[in-house]
Amino acid sequence: MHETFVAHALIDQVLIVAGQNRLTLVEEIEVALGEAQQLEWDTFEVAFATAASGTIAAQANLRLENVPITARCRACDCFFIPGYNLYTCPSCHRSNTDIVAGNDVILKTVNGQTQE
Amino acid sequence: MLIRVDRSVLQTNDALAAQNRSRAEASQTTLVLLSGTPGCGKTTLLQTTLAQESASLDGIRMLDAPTGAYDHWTAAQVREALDTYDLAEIGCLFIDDTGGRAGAGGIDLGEQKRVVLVSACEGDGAVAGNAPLLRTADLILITKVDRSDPGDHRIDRIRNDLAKVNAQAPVHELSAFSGEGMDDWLAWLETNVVGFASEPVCC
Repeated sequence: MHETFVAHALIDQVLIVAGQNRLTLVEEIEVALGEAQQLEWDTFEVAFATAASGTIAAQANLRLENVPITARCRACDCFFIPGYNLYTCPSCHRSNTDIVAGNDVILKTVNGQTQE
Repeated sequence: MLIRVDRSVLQTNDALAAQNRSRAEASQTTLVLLSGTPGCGKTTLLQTTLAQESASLDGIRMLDAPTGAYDHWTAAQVREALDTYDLAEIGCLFIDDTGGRAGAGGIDLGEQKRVVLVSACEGDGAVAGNAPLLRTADLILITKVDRSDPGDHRIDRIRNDLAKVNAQAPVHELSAFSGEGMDDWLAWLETNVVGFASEPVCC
């Protein structure tokens, strides 16, 4: 599952950040999920719990934020939100776009405890 | 302690993908990704393609194990696959993605060409449901056209939907089963994929 891949990539990053900051327990993780990744949130939460099992992030609260897809028309530089994944520019009606938001999975914050 | 990170969790994959791409380019090998929903005909197309090019099917490798957990390839898995080949001997390496949502928008594997398949047998939501991936295609193939009833104009509707998602990529219709349209596909490979005519290999 793509959710499993992203969950493992996420926990890898969380543990790196935790190690760099000497966290002994990760309590909360804030993640921005781009819509273009088409992740099912329930499945992703289960996948993350599985990936985090046995780590200092096993009990962490996962806060997910949806990032809608925003496209930029290469022809007329118009920014727009595609309707049901149809990437036709509402201004010039061409389908030649870049996705400028909603195409990534961003680890925003990690909150946890240190030993001190 | 609150730590602000603001970092892509896909960055490791993307870095490995860049390495894969550099490695292939250094060996003058073209990595071609075939992607699409399950059952769209990727594997059959590859087998027919290689057979028509008189390549040895013994050279095809279907690596199921790495995709078991994720339902699609990752850049790390492609790197492992590249390790099993002498790239100096290979002009073109096909990556047969295994279906699923193919990494949704299509994660970067290091491929230089991305070919996305849509089956003429799929329902009317086929294009919209896979739009993030189709948007990134260099070539779109409408497959299984021999199984489409001309009376229901499904291929016309697929083409119409594709024009709303990716108007830049050429769209070819073909059937790997009947051979219809295969010449156009092979011509595209010969024109756009450096090294295709030498020894294409599939993984």
